[in-house]
Amino acid sequence: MGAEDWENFGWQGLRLRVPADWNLGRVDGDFDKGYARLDDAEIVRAEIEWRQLKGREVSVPLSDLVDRYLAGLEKKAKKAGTSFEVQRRARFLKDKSWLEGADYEVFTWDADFSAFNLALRFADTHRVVLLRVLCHAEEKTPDFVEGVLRSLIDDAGRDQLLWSIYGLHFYMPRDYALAGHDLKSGHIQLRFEKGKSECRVHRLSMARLLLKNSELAHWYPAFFKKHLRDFQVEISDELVCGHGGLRVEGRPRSRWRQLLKPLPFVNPRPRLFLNSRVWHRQDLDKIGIVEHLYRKRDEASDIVDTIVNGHFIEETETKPGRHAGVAADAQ
Amino acid sequence: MLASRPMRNESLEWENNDEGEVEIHIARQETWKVRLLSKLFYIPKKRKITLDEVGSEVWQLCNGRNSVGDMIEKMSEKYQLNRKEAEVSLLQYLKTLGEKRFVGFALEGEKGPPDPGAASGKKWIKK
Repeated sequence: MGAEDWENFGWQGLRLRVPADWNLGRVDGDFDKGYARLDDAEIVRAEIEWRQLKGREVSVPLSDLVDRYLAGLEKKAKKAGTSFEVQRRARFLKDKSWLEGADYEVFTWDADFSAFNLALRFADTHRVVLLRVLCHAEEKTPDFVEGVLRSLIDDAGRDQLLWSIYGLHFYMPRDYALAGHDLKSGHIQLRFEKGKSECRVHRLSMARLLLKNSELAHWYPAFFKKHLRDFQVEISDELVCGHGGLRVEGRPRSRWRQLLKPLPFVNPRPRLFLNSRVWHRQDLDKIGIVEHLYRKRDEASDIVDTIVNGHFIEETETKPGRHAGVAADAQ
Repeated sequence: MLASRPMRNESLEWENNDEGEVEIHIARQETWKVRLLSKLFYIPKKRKITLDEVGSEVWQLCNGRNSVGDMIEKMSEKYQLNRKEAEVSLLQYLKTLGEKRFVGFALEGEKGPPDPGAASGKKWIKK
């Protein structure tokens, strides 16, 4: 498997290189504690769990955490009546030089599948990560196991975090925390919050079909009609990342208009300003949207431009199944 | 599921319209209930369902020769979709077609199209 057949997976500051046909199958939790699962066309291929250690937990030895984890698994296996074999400090890694000086443990377990595990404590971020790569029980240790395990990076200490799923790759400033996500087939949406301001990133597939009967400038307000109903929107053409796109600026509708509503003082929707860029990448048949919503006019920032023009999709977005080309030290 | 081969229900009439979209014609069921209701209300003898571009593409691929896995590959290539995206939406769509008995799913080793209307037959397994 060549390097071009590998892609980045990035979520909550954790970054991995995985074979291009592995995709996010399930994700849960937040920055402090969470879980993500990557599947290929047949089976679950990798699972990653992370936990931010706080207070006394910071001094707990990693081996104790692994003990607890394995005890839980053994209990489950006993209940299910399946065989479960663990090998601590397993020797499946050909090269361990990249782990020198790190607090880690590698171990394997065999049940229905063979699991190659790496438990690693990142000293600078105090996060403990358990990454396991799964193979069919009859498979010999495949080469990709080591490749995946050694690609694990915790970017939590950086200013920008890579978010990379389903071929969508972008960097988001660290202080914007993921507040929600909607991973629908054909429309991926991630929502980030920093205080009262919000940033949304959308990626829509099959743009040619979406724009079959209308131009981008007409499609966008129609598609997001509900979302835009509280804004007075101004749309102008703008080149975004070298592609035909739009600059959208929205301000709250007049207060007088709200007073005319039946219950003028019961309006759970706050008055917001909007700044967004929408663009159509014809070569990838995708529409990208980055939106910034903020409460006060003076809170306007260049976050949208930073995300879009700085290191956004343009540099990293690739065709499905192709190498994303994000340098390990990209900032 | 990925190895199964979706097949159109041969008892259905369908054609491509001028825009290349598939139109499926569904005949009214002639049960006594329908006949009775048709005396009271207007129930057309045939109704037409028009599939959109992607739906039509999938319909054409449901010929009993392409496995679901093959279809996912073709759709993800044609519409530049991530494999997982193509898989999720295609499976959902095929499930809907299966529930409406527009397609059946041949399992590995089974050859040839099913007998028309043999929805409950051994060869044609409704998912």
